[in-house]
Amino acid sequence: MGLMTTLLRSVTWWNGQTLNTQLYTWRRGQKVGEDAEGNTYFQTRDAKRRWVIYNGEAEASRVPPDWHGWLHHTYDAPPTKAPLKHKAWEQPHQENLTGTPLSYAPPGSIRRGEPAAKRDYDAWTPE
Amino acid sequence: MANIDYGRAAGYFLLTDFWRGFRLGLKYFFAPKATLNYPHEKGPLSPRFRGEHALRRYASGEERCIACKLCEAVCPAQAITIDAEPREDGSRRTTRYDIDMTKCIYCGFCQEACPVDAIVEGPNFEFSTETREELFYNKDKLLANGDRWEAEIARNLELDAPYR
Repeated sequence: MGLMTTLLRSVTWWNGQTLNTQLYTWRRGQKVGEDAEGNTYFQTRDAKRRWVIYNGEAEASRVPPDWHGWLHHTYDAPPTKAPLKHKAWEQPHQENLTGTPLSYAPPGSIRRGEPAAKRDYDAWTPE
Repeated sequence: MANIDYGRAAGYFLLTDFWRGFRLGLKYFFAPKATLNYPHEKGPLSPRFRGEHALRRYASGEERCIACKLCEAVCPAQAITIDAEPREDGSRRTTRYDIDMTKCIYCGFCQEACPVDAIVEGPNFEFSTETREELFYNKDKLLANGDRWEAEIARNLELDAPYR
């Protein structure tokens, strides 16, 4: 870990993890697994608390569906023990892209190159 | 000579109320905390949790929705708009399936009404947006949600099946 990362982590919370989170992980964390993005999943020895250390920005929507249910205590077996059934047509997980140029825009949005024409009504024009 | 309650006076003199308050404060200072270290740690969710909507597909990849419009009819907030016409192969499908997520009250009636388990409310609740228009979901967005969350949606339906 470089000096820049240490400095950033001391004043921000979104660069991976804060110092306190890191210390807690060292003290109590038992590694459960890792997902495709490199996020690492931990739990305490008594499996009461589960948490994730993000690889990069600490953005909550980066947790893929496989680990999402385990992290939210919906089911107890992590996907390393009981893998979820995947279908061939599934798409890779995507974080919440709001605020970026790649965010979702409905067809009529002016953020689209060619907004869809309004169909339901005729626009009023003054005489 | 007025009647003086010496016990109460001694209590005042020795700051008993202060110490009792201090004791209560210290008790909760050292008690285990109920807070979660979000976004690293997250709260428990039921398999029935009603979050962001998704349109599911059959195992073959064919979209489930048959444009019966039951969800549109049952929606108490009237957040769903559906247009339908027969596809080239003759099957009845939606040409437009819009959900206004700003109107939706997440009651789950749409997934209860759906005869083919097409519209479901998935486990994702982290879909907040910076602009209002990003919450006007169309069919592509809903199908994409289904394609991204299918694994967990299927697991949650499986977990909940014994209770239905």
